[in-house]
Amino acid sequence: MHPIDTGLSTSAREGQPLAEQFASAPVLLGRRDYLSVLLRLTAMELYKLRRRPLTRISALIALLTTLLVFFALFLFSTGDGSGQVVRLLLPPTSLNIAVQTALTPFTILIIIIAGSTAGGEYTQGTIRLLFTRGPTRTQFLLAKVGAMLICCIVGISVLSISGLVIGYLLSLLRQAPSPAPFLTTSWLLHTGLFLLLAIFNWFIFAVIALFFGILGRSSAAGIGGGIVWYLLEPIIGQICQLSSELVQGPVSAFLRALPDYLIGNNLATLMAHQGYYIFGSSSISTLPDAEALTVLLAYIVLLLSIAGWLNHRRDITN
Amino acid sequence: MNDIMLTEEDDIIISTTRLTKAFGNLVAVNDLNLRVMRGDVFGFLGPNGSGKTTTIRMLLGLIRPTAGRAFIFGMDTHYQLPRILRRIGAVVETPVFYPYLSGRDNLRIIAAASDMARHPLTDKRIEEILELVELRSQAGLAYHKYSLGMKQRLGIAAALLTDPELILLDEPTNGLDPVGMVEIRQLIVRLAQQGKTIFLSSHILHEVQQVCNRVAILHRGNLIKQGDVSALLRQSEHILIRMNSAAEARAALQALQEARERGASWIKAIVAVGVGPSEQPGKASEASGEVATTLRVEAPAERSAEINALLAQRNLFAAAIHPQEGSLEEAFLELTAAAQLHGAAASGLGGLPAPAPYGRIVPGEGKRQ
Ligand SMILES: Nc1ncnc2c1ncn2[C@@H]1O[C@H](COP(=O)(O)OP(=O)(O)OP(=O)(O)O)[C@@H](O)[C@H]1O
Ligand SMILES: [Mg+2]
Repeated sequence: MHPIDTGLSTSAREGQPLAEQFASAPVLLGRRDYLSVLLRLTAMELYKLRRRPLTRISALIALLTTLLVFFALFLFSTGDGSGQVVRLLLPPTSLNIAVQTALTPFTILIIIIAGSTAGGEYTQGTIRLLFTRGPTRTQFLLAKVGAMLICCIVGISVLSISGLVIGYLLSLLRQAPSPAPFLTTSWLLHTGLFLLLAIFNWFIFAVIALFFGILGRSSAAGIGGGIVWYLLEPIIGQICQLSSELVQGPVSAFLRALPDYLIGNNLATLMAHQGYYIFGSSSISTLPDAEALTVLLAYIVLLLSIAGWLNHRRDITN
Repeated sequence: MNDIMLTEEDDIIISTTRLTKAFGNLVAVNDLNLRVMRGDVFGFLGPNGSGKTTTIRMLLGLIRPTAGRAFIFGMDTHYQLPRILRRIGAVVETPVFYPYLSGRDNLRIIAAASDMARHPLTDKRIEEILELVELRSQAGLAYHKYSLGMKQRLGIAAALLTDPELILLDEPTNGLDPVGMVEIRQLIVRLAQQGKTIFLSSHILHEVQQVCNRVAILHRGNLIKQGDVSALLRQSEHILIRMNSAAEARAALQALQEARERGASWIKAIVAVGVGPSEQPGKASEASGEVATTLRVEAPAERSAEINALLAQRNLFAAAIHPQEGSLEEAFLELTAAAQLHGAAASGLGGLPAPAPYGRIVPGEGKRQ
């Protein structure tokens, strides 16, 4: 009396639509080495990012804002006889404007995207869908990090190129003074570094948001943690500076040194150094580049290690 | 238990030894020893909160056992999880997918996460699987617009996508309409015919009775029974005999007891029950006096003619004899009721001799009431 030999299975064998159409296509597997799996998962993460309404809206907001900023400059240049304002629409300044527009308000957008991409898997429960398929949890985390890095690269590139193009097109409508020559090898090199730093700037906040998203197992934690960090850092820097003048001795020294270890300050230092070469802007900080870079890399390694450890160890119960 | 000893190692698909999970003070799964053989359709039963999902999560490596270990395909889930997972398809609780993606795109995500190549054949397979669960016409619809039943179907589609050897389904028919339930059952039967091993957690006992050949019953984290469905059904088979008066019932009871003592060993037990045969036959009691006109004889249903003859020899004529086929539901209710009574003492009933576990054992483990 094997239960499988019941009338039910007979009807399943006979003529039901279900019975006829059992999958015939084979399961074709791709390469299974660590890197191939990682690349495939990164592509998967990018696909999800690309298809998410949030990413699309963010991209639209960023592009529109860039357009608006340049359009505002264009309007300001109406009554400007000397052509000083029109010059802002042209490189090299227009590049700086485009990148600063991307960095100052839109780091928040990257935090929102990264925080929800990590925490959202927990919030939605899709984490158990991923973690039961075969690749390791670390691979899934690294894929997210890789996808965010690519997202930052694409974002900064698209925004700075759009800025350059929009600025140039608008400048055509005005009497633009012929620009001073700036296009040298050294300029290109520093501009490249400047753009890399802008990407790094976004990426480090994306890592912070990923970290908090995983720590708090929710989009809200990722987004909230990232934004609070982003907004709190300058305030902490200010407080340290002010209070270091009120106290003496080692405490004062500590308070004075602390801002040098804040992410925002180190990023600002690095970018200002490159800006000095590109735009002739004055460098504000005395921190050496290498030290700033080390501090930032230490943050990334530390945050990703903790996130990776949590991700690897924890029970998935939602 | 002998058949387990005799089978090849290769044929054991899932085996757990003293698998335990505690959430703080709550022992969700206690000392679980499961054996699932190749080709089994294994029903995993238990009341709400008995630890079914927790066990499935441990098997899939989603949560770490507090103690004990689980082997799938002979590999330890603690050390070889990726290799194990690549041969498993699973739905844990209500399936979840990315709400903004369509069913088809969600399956593409699953394919990528399961190491399937980006290739037209993969797309073809996705279409075929969608057809199989009858979702093809809604495959382009965003997942958040799916009904519960459609979500369940997509979950099953995801589980079948990689043509796995072992399929773990956690209440797969939850939320399906009757037609959908039958279809999923048929699908399970077909998968079994293809030689797949299926581990099916469910509340729906008649469903399990129809498709499963083996079951394990969990109660508050303890395994109270593990075995063949047919044996379990035979166990709960019985015959109800209604006599015309309480006095006749007492006489019949005595006659049958004597017959058993004289060697009719197929009569396992006889009890007088106070209620009619059609209502609550499971609630047997040693009711006294006037009300008890019905006897419940624990015996194979096909023996009712013999019982009739036995009684007739003593000039006792039953008003009615109802042979009752065994049902999993009844067996389940009896077993869980007994477990409730005996508490943790019942935990060893279905278990197998277990080797020492590794890992930490929480204080109080196994002492839970
Ligand atoms: N993350 C958790 N933290 C604490 N307790 C938990 C957790 N997950 C499950 N439990 C407890 O473990 C026990 C078993 O839960 P489980 O989900 O395994 O039951 P189940 O048999 O699947 O129930 P159902 O039939 O309702 O799905 C329950 O008492 C539950 O409260
Ligand atoms: Mg459950």
